[in-house]
Amino acid sequence: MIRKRLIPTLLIENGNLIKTIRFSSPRYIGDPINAVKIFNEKGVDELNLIDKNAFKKGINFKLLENISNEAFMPLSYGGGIKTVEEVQRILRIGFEKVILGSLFFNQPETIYKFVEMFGSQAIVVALDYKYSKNDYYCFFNNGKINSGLTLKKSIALCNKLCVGEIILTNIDKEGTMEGLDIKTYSLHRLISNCQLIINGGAKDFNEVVNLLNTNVVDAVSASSIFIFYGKKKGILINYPGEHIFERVKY
Amino acid sequence: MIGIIDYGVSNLGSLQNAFNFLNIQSEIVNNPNMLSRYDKIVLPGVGSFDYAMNKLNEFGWVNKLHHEIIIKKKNVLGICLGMQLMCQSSEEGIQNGLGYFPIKVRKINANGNLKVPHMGWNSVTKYKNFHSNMLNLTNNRFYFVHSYCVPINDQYTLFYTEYGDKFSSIIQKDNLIATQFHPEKSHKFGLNLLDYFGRVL
Repeated sequence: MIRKRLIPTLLIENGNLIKTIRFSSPRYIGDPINAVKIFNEKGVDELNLIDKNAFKKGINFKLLENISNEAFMPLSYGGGIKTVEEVQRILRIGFEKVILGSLFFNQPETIYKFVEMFGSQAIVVALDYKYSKNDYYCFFNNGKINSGLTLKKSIALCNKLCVGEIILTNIDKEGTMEGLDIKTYSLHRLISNCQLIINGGAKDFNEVVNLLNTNVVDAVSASSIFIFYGKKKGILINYPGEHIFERVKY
Repeated sequence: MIGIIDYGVSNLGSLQNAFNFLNIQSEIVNNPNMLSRYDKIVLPGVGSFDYAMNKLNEFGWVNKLHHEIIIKKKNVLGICLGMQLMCQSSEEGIQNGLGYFPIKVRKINANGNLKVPHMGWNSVTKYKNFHSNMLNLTNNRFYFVHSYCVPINDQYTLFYTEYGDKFSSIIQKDNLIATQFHPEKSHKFGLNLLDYFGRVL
């Protein structure tokens, strides 16, 4: 690998780009298509797009088409995915991967079907967790329902299903810019057969680039640091220049 | 006019998008009988080997592809799984591949602490001096996402890539050329290659 990936995650609600804190209090940011355009121009590694109310309102395929037209880098989409037809349509539009959340906890066997049909590399599982009762538990439905499964058990299940990659998000850190939960990530990194992406609470570019360059993580995802600028959190889409990343040979 | 083959298993939108950006005409072909209309062919592919070969067989692509590519010798670009399908067979499945390259696709042999699929940005290194102008080689990076790879072959490998293992990133034989990475997802580096295929070859 030249270097590990740094992946902005864009949250969408009703066709708008938003930003949450601890999975709530959405703040309107702007037009997602424009954001993707800017990230594309900055040579971003890839983008994760999560639609927060797709599970209620359905998948916004038109928006996905418009977004796909702006990107010459990989895109992943998550939000409300339930069927093979939906996955197929999303991939055909121009997305490399689909991100599954609730479906993993409700119907893991469907995930396996997706892997068989589309290949591991197209299937990503999002594990959103909170520390509770001396362990880490996975929550779904926008962090509202406790699945009863620990992070450890969830990752083991992902291994069994041959999932392509896993996004680990600390719900209580999300949007806080207090720093990523490296401790929990490191505890679970070696359990996973596939790449584990850390997400939730990234403080600034220094923190994430340092983690990538020192091989503490497989990949990093973040939101706030790419959208906000300065102490007053003004809105500005930004991404570190290529020169900041160290190139590593494996 | 470039024909991008639609056999139900790939991301076609991005490819067409890339060609549009480069002002190179392309169309999505979903009927094998229409294949003869195109001067150049792109065989994309995402997913698993057997599933893809089954689709190619099911929809009657195999014979038509053979005719246009092997007999009429049209320029063809295979991408990712498309590259692997052009080989003899794959460890991933039990179906025969198209057999244009007499090579067997195998699992990536990443050493202990590297995870598979190989997913992310990696560079390519020249193996042979041929079609070098096709790639902008300075500080290059391309997007790879695969679990299986085409081993290095003295006859057909143009460029290779390292990920704990060394494997072909670009192979070529007569009018056939194929990449393991996704040029349509590799920013300017990939666009450069697509432009070369569309305009120069």
